[in-house]
Amino acid sequence: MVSYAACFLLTVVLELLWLAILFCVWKPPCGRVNLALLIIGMNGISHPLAWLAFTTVSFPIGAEVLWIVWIEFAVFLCEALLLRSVAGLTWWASILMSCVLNLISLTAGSALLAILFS
Amino acid sequence: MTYLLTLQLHRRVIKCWVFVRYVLIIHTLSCLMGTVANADILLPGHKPVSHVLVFQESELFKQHRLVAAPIQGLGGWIEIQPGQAFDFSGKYGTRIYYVPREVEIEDFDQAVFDQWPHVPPPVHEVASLPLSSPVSKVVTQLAFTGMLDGRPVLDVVSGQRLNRLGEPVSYGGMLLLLVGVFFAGIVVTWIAACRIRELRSSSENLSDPEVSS
Repeated sequence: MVSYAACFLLTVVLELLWLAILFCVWKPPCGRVNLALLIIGMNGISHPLAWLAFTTVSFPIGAEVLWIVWIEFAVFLCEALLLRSVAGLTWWASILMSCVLNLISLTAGSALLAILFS
Repeated sequence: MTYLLTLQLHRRVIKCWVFVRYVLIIHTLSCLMGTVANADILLPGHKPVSHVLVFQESELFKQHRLVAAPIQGLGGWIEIQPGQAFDFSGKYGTRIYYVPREVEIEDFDQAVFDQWPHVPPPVHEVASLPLSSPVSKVVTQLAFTGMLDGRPVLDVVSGQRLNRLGEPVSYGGMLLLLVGVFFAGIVVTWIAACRIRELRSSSENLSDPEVSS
């Protein structure tokens, strides 16, 4: 429980940090605060689902990596669609934003999981 | 000239063959090492966990003496004390022996140990769990309920799964947290979507000359 909360908070903090850097050079059409809120909300939806999908399945040998890739791909696609439709970003901006956010989430989550469960 | 070219070609073929042979040898060795090592190596995506047994306090321990020892491996034994956790191994086949009180055990001797009545622990060892599991230690509490046909009768009282901080793992709290975060995420997304919609409609109104006038 503590590890999950820590993983989630670390992901959100890192993503907000990245957004803060990005917003210095780019003003999104939907507003900076709105986009940050939307991203936090999307994280709140996707993070527990991805966690459940990862932890409730027992993997055959070597399949865990494939499973994580599929989950991450699904999350990436959904987030890109949401950014495009709700925030009104262009396709390229949506895809790029979703890709970076998922990379941050995956890296932070994996690093923390590796530390906590080692 | 043709002879030289043929010689060069032969040399290249020989070099290729030598390379292929090295690859084959390395592959065979790695396969052999892999099969030998796999017996002890954890499956990918799994981590080792410690599984210990603890006996409940019982009056029977004043009259009887229980000793845990493996039937395979390097031997070793431990006298079971109620309330004190001890390791056991499913792989090395830990057995619980009933040893008379007057006997002094000096060193592990399989032949001597085999003379005494023994039973396997009434629980299977949990040696590894998926990497994503928060459990890092499993504690099973046992009860020494009596003797039957000269053998100790052991029962499982309870089992506890602990995290790395030594706290019991509660899946209920975890599920509650996940559901909470999920619904909080929906609410925040909805608020953001409403704000963006408002921003868009206000900017559309400003750009529309009929509305702005």
